[in-house]
Amino acid sequence: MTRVLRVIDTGLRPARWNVAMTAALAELHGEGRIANALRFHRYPESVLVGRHQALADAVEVGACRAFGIEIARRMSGGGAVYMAPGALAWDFVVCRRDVPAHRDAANAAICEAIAAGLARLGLPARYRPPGEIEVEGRKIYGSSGYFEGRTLLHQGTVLLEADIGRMAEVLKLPPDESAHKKRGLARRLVGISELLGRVPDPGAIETAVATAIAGAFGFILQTDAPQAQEVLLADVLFAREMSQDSFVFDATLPRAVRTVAGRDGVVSAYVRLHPGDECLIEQIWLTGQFEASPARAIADLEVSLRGLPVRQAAQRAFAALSDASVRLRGTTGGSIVAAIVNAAEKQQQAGLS
Amino acid sequence: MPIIRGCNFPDDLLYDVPHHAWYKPLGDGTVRAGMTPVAIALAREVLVFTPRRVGTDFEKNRSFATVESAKWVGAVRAGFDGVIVALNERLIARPMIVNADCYGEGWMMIVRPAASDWQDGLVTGAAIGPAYEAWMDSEGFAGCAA
Repeated sequence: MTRVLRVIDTGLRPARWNVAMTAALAELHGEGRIANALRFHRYPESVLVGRHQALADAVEVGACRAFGIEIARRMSGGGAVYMAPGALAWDFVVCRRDVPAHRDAANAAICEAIAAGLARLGLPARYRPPGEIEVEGRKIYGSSGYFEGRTLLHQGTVLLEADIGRMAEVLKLPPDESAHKKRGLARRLVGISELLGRVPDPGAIETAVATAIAGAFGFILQTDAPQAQEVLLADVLFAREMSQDSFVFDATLPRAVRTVAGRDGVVSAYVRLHPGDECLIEQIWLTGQFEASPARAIADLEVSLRGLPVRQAAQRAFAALSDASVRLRGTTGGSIVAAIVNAAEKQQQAGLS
Repeated sequence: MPIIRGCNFPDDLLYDVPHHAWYKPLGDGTVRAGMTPVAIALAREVLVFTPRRVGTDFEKNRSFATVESAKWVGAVRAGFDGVIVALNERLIARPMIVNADCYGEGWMMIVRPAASDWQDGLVTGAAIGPAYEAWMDSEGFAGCAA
């Protein structure tokens, strides 16, 4: 059976409407009322925070207001991003059965396909797990996701032109970069225009990405316009929810997460304790506005702490992060250890209450 | 209790199959709600659980909670109209308990249905197995252990 992938382009629209359109596509697809779709879209200058992210930790709200920059809250998770017409964004909404069954495998396959598409434009683009694409160590693409029932929605953004200066003004970044915020961002991010030496044609990128995704998953592309039901539902969701400041500013925050913010940057630790023995760590995840080198250092650390008592895990983490072969940018080993211990203590307190 | 592709479904509960939620009448007009093992398998490790606030009205097929797992967010949709009466504060504080015990400690919230026919469209008892088999077949769902 031929499988169709609708390709639509809703152009440049306000950030909160774009979020509503993403939600509408996910909802309609989840109900089986629309086919798989790839929606390209663009944003005016705006900041998008993750669905459950603490806005005050991530956004310079005063700067956004001063510049007249809209703040919106995404449907998907992850951290805050600065958007502008120099970024091309897309929603890939797809049935789980049409991509690898395991969600992480599906996401990897999607990112690999997009990287292959960008490589055809002359960029040595490579997928970097879990959801980024980089060129020579600098990020050009980031992604996050939304799911419900049969539907996966991969949401990605590629930088055509990176306005690092404005980005540095509106996003909160690791404090050790505050003095050289712009330089720190420039080390990590790059726009395609800088790599190619010319401003890329967004249409060529759309074609490359759509073709690569279609090839990877066996779709026939079908250029289409947004359907009336999609626009109608987006307008309803926009009016009811996504346009509301209460939706953007008042997200309920995960209380079990320890966030260390201050001199050493922002680190979040998620700790799951062993169900039978709350002194033992069963699983741990570490995220935040920091980078580690080698890139595997944090993932390896997370694995090495499984099954350890909290105190011993803290000692092992500190030793591992103090190793001369590990370099941290944006935080310190002490902050990561503090986040781990605090998250574990909160979990233990919640378990006893 | 039906066990289908590694997912267990206690047969005294009512299930909203498309939205992977279960409901249990509490005898005082309220209903306890939670996520099924299928929901957990689709979400994977639940790191954040964010319900709507107590006192919030919700509508059938609309989201009344969200979960997040490593940059992926999912909605939990309601099977009928109602109002949220109470939340499982332990689940908010420790979302990962739902991965270990979605029918017990990992329940989500207590709600009060808006109408007496709230059970219409939900499945229970002997109907659970065929309903989930059909859903799993249609969606290519490999199972809860996959």
